[in-house]
Amino acid sequence: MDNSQKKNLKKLMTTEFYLLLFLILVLLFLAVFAKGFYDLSNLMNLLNRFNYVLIAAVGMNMIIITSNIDVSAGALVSVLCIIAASLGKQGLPIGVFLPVTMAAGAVLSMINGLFITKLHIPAIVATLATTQLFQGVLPLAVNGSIYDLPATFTWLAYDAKLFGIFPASTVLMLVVIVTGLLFMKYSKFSKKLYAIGNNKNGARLAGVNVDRTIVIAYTIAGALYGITAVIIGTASQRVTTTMANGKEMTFIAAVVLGGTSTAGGSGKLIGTVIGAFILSLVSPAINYLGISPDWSDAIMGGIIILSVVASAVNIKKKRRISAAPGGR
Amino acid sequence: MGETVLELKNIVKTFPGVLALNDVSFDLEKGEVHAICGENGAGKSTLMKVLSGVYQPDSGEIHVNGQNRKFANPMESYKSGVSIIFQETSLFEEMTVLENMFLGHETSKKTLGFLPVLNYREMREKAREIFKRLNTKIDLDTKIKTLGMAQKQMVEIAKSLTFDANILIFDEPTASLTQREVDALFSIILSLKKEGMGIVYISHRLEEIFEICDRVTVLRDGQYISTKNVGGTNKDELVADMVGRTMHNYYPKTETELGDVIFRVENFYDEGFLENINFEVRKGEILGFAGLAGAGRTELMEAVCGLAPKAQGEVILDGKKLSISDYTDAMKEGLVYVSEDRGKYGLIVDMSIEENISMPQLKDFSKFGIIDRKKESAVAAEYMKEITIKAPSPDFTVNNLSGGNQQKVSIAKALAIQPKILVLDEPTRGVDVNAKAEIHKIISELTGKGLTILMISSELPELLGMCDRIYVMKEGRIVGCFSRQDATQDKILKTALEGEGEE
Repeated sequence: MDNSQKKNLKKLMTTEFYLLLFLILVLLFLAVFAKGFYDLSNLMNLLNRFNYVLIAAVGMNMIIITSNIDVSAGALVSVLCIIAASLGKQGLPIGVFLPVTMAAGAVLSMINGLFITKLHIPAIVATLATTQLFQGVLPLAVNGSIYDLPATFTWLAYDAKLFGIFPASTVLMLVVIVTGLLFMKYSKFSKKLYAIGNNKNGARLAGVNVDRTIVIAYTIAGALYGITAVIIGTASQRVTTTMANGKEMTFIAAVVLGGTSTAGGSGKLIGTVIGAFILSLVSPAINYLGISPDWSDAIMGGIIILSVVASAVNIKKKRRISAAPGGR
Repeated sequence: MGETVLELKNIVKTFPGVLALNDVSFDLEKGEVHAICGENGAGKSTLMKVLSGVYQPDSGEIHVNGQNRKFANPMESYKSGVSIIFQETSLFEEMTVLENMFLGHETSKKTLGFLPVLNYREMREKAREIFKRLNTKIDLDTKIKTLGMAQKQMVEIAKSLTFDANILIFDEPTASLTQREVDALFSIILSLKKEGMGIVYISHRLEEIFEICDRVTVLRDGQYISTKNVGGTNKDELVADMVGRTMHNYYPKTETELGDVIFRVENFYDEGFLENINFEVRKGEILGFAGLAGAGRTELMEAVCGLAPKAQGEVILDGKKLSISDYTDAMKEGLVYVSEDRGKYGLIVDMSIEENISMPQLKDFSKFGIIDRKKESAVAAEYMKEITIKAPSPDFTVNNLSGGNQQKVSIAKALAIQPKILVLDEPTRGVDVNAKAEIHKIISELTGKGLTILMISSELPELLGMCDRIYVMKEGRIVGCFSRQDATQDKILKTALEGEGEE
């Protein structure tokens, strides 16, 4: 093998590549051992789950790249589900409640961003606080759930099928992910996100308005949470106040599994796509393998630990424990 | 020459309680390399931060290319043609060379008539052109974290050229470069100068100023002192301007009676870093280690002190073979290492002097698991007096001390462990002239008291002035050894470069 070939091969051996390999292995494994997994209705179910996880994870990815975090995402999506439902209850169509929910998400998430940048509260603390706030306000506003929603509300989940089979949320997902991939590669804004995650002061010196960029990242993420909330909420005619609580961990996990460092500054969106897919796979997969669904969280945790350990081993191989920075 | 491209007039900058710049003026001509020197805290960096828009001056004027400017942020300064290459590189480790070069001023084109989309092709072309101009090859798609210091600096320079700057500021550019890299840098600076750029060169190293600069301006305590033609001055005169008095003796080495061999290192080996290292040192000796950056000096000291888990070899102290598996073992045996990077590894800068000193041996400073603050404070006060740490009290936070005093705290911390062998890695890096002399005096006094010192330094005059013997390393091996009488800068440098010398 000559040098350039070797170099090309090395370029291919990225986190994303290994993840994809893992995913393919899992899919092959399921083809052999999980009877009925490749059943159409199951696949569509999986796709729906993948759609909403990924859409939120695209936002979460932006936030984590700036070396911040958002643990309020689950609670916020719950709030947004209720907002969508209360609009749907009035008989308003998705053409109205989707954009309104997105706008509400943008505003609420922007508050997180403002807490972090203007009040200098660490992201984890700020978003923990807003988690409590979101969860606390809901029971005051709504008594447990909004039910007897009209058929117009669940149109997205039941009536709108693409080519008669694909869930319509796939269209939303595709729009988000294609825009997202292009945006992360070809926009100036994305470079600012990476720069901030790498070296905040350096970014400032390069003329990046750090605070504003972070606030915008949270705002965009909030709008994306709005889409996720609509997909989750419209799945039934009853929307509860705790519908998406705890989902933030899945969103964060998809991002981390996809190779984005929680320290910020690195990671590709394509990794998040694969990460989201793997995590969406877990619960239907174990279902079809005949394992109790109680295992699903533990297995997801195991996968994340494995991937984090694998990348840590990789880093350690390259570096020597050394007190000599730049000594070599 | 002759055309003035940059003029700073009567710049005043105050910080709460500190007059950082007091009426400082400075000018730069086209095609000139103009050095600014002064001790730490003299105001060099502040002046450059004012010029590059990081700070705004309280009063005074900045004229760039004939226009009166006020910079609200670094971007504005870049765009007016002033580019600064910062001391600590301001690059983004996880991003590629190309992304770094254009960050904040990416080239974009309108797509569909309104959407600004990054134009990678144009950026790539421009970047290639710049590297060609610099006569350097760097893969534009590699991440910064995979580059060495010299390459990073090259990217910084390339980045500044993307702005079409005609004024370049280098802030201590050679601090972490090897001699060969310094030479490469100098040839780039000279070619940029020929292109007609005005270059401001800030450095601690006077030798460099004489090698590459046309004029030199000295600052002291925020005041403008003098501007001289380099050809018409000399080192002593500059140092005199910098410290405000003439210094005759930089290196107050006192001759000490050397004892028997106290410490021996035999057959040290660490794959990829060290190869068959043998050396010995006598009691009371100062043993120097010279070499270019990356020669393996720091790696050797780390290995000897148990900081490189894979290294193999024997360490014999006082005739006894030591088994050291980590640094705690080394400390217990009296082998103490003072890191070259005190901010990162040497000290916990947000803690007080006394807390730092007691840190390695809290057991000795506590009763029943409770820290004896009085003892801590008393011990710290003792060392502050002994090695003249200038601070109001032992509970003063290290962060607020000058570089020189921080270094002294590092040394005090090491001394409190009661070492037999003290390893000093670049003990005067980033320290001003006065503090440097004081640290040298301290080192000298310590050997007088029977301490044995291994000292790494990249400054040859320092090694020549302080050490009884000097080992020269290259590529992980010891390639030469010189006694105090035989050693000269030329010989050592030649050995370090070519790897042949008198064993």
